[in-house]
Amino acid sequence: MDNSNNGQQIQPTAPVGGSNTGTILCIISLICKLFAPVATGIAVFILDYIDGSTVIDVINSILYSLVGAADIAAWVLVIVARVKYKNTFSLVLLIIYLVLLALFVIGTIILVVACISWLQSCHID
Amino acid sequence: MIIPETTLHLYAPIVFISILIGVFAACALMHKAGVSRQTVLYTALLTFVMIVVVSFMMSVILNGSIFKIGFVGAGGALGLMLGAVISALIHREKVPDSVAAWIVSAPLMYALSKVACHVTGCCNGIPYDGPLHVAYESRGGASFFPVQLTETVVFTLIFVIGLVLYLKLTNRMRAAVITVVLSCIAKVGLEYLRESHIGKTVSGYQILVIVLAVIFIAISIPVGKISEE
Repeated sequence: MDNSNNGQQIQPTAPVGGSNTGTILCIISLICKLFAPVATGIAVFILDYIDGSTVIDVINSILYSLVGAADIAAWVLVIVARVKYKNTFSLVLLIIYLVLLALFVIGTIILVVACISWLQSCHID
Repeated sequence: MIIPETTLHLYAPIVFISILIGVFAACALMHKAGVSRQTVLYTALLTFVMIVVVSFMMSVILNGSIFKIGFVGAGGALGLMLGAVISALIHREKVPDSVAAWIVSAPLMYALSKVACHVTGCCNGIPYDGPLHVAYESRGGASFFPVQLTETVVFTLIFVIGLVLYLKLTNRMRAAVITVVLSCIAKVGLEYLRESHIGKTVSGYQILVIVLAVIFIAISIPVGKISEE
């Protein structure tokens, strides 16, 4: 595809009414992102302390599936908003999600290393 | 080979590094196919997130508790497949080539991540004391078949075969399908060398792997026909 016009790059334009759609997508994305920690909190602090029955296991599995699905939906929506509508809100959200992702990866590694070191020190003692 | 107990903390860093190396390989293949830098970047981001999230999700669902969260190979494979397909459908830029790049890179991620299993002993092969056996201090020095290292070698070979096919074939989805079929056969076959498989004819995990392979082959047909908007 030729994007040049007398030597000038043609910038891709956002679709008509795209600003509103982009903002709505970003808001839904944010709600999905916030759902994950809330649902995880419910699962960890309420359901996991109830003695395991089949019903509780099923509820837990559904809840964890929703947490993962909501997180994935948040990413998909913000990327769609960024790619198709190119609004500033989507850029800000994307940067926040990236920072959270980096913190999650680093946090997971530190947590695993710390837990194992702690368990091994207990074992040696 | 005796693996000391102090190597457990290497698990998470090795798995994350394996995923990142696979992501770089897929990005390089997408770039080679002529996909734009923006599409490569967003695809890498979404697919990385989906590999980790779906893998964690599957581990929690299979184990029934969030306290048993961890990496599951089949979950990672499903996440990669979904991430690559969803990204390709968002961007609509060289869809078959983009999806195939990720599928071809998947065996590399799996092969490298198995090094983490080997050094930590989170899983092990059948009892075996022949050449190249592996023993873990954490298991009282018992000897096992080096199934994880075998998986590393086998899946690295599958990656090389997939890579050559990706670069040679005009229809790159065909390279992806061949990679998936080879990976499925290898994974199902190598499960028989695991201690956890003793006494079973076919395990639930083997069925899951076969189902994932069939799903990918089924979706590869419409995905292969998608052209750019």
